Amino acid sequence: MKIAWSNSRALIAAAALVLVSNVIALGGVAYNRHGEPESVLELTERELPIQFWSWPDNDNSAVHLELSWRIGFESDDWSRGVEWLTREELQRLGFSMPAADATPEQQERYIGQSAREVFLALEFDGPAYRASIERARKRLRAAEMALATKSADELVIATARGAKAQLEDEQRRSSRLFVVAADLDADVLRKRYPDRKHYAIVRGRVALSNGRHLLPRIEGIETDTIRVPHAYRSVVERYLGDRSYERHEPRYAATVNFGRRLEPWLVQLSRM
Amino acid sequence: MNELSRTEAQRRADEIRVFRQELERLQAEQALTLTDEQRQALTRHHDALLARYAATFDIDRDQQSQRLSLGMRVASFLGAVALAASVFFLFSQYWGLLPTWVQVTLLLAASSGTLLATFWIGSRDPTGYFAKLAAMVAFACFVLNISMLGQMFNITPSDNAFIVWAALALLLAYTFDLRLLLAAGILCVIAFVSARVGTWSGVYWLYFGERPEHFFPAALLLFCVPLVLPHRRFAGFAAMYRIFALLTLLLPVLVLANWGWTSYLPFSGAATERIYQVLGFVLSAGAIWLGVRRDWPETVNTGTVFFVIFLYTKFYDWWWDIVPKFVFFLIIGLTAILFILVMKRLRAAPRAPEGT
Repeated sequence: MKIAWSNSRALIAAAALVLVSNVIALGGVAYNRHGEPESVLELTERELPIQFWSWPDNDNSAVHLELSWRIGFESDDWSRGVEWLTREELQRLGFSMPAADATPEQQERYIGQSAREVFLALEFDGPAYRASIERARKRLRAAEMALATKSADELVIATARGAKAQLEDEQRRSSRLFVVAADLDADVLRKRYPDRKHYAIVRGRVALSNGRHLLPRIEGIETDTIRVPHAYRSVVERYLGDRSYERHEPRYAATVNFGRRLEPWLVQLSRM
Repeated sequence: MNELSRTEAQRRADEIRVFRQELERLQAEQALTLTDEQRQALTRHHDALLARYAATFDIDRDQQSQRLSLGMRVASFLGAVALAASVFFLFSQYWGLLPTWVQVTLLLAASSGTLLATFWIGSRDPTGYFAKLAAMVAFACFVLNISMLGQMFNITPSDNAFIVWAALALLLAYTFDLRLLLAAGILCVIAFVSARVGTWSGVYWLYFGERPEHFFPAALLLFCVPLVLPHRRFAGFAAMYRIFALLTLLLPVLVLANWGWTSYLPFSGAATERIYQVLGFVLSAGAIWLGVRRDWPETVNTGTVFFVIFLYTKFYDWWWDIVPKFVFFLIIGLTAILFILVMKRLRAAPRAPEGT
């Protein structure tokens, strides 16, 4: 059947397109927020600093908070990438890995693999954070022992001072949010980490950095910025002008829900 | 849409002007003689046609009008870009100060309101300049609509946005004969198809550009569109599809010819580069041949540009370091002369009829 096209039919089609697109987008939001949240995290400014736009700087009146997450390392050697992303894990996530004894020419084929979309487990105030504090304590103990034998050495004094500041920073100001696992199946991660008040499952990306070795890294989380609803804007408005990079004690606390589509939203924001 | 489009009316008016000039020359050379009655009838007929077209479509009757129309089109484009930027910054400046329900309402109102305004203006503007400007603003508002909903509700970014933007851009482009929106729609289609091909290969959709081969299916799709759907009533649309198809094909080939390690092919980087260098020559030469055969000047020109780029890139790789610079540029110049001779022969070869 041939349809005679006219401007009125074009208008109806265009209007339907706009309406349906909006209904689908808003319907997805409603679906995400419907029912029990997938996880609920009680965070503070340590894990949700205000996101400052570089451009357009003062013209953007919307306020966003950014999920500040970290990776834990067993040792101080960060040159090997994310330690728990082993060769077998990376292959399971879909990366092609060269043989252990591959020549540099053979390894060349594996360079430049694109990032893979995966599910990540975000741990809040859990073993990874406590391990990080323990590492900071160890560094401080080592620095204090060195200071006991070389109390006049400027470098040793500075190292001890730095280690003390680092421990204090770790205990009071650093983010307690760590990415601890990755999988292609969100349900598998949730079974492994069933505590919905300390573990959020989110979408993210794993990538391989190119260097002498293929180093695994967590490239990012899909929805790591959260819009501050208008109702809570006044809680953070006074801090918008503070552009210093110096870390401070957290000034506000937030409750973040993660929904069925693993998209976050702010349900509570209050000053501390 | 009118039975006769503005483009067709303008084309007929230009042909009438050229016909009149040629008729005068033929009469001066005494190759053709018309009686007074025939000449008057012809003049009356053409004048009536031109008057009707001018009243209905506001066409350009002469070259001066054409130059002014070009200026109006440029002004229309700049006006649309400026208005779209104004809408964006207006939203950005006051957004955070409004409750969520007001924001959603405003986004919907902006999208649908500008759309309605576009069609209303189109029904009252025979020239099409204001309707085109309004159509571009309506498209910008729709892009803002979807992207800002995503920001407001922290929706996971998705390539699905490209297909709805493409749908609206193409709908408005065909309704108002607007090549700029056609280009926007085509770019959205390229992004969507390439992102999908990327995700099927296991790549995160936003990184579809990291593997140039993701663009090949989109190039094929674009090239087939004007073959399957005739575009006689839409001047320049078929050419746009072909130009974008060639760019979507040959730019990735050019990238792979120089950075082979980004390819999916199971060979070393150097071997892959050699393969794509040969492919680049073959495809661009093929585009030139096809363009000459089918009388598609944009295909010939695009193929020529890429052939030259591939050729000069190879010359640089072979000779830049080993021959004196004057010899290098002499080779470039001689190659250009050879190219002109080859193109001249191709131009003289028999071609398919116009309009295909």
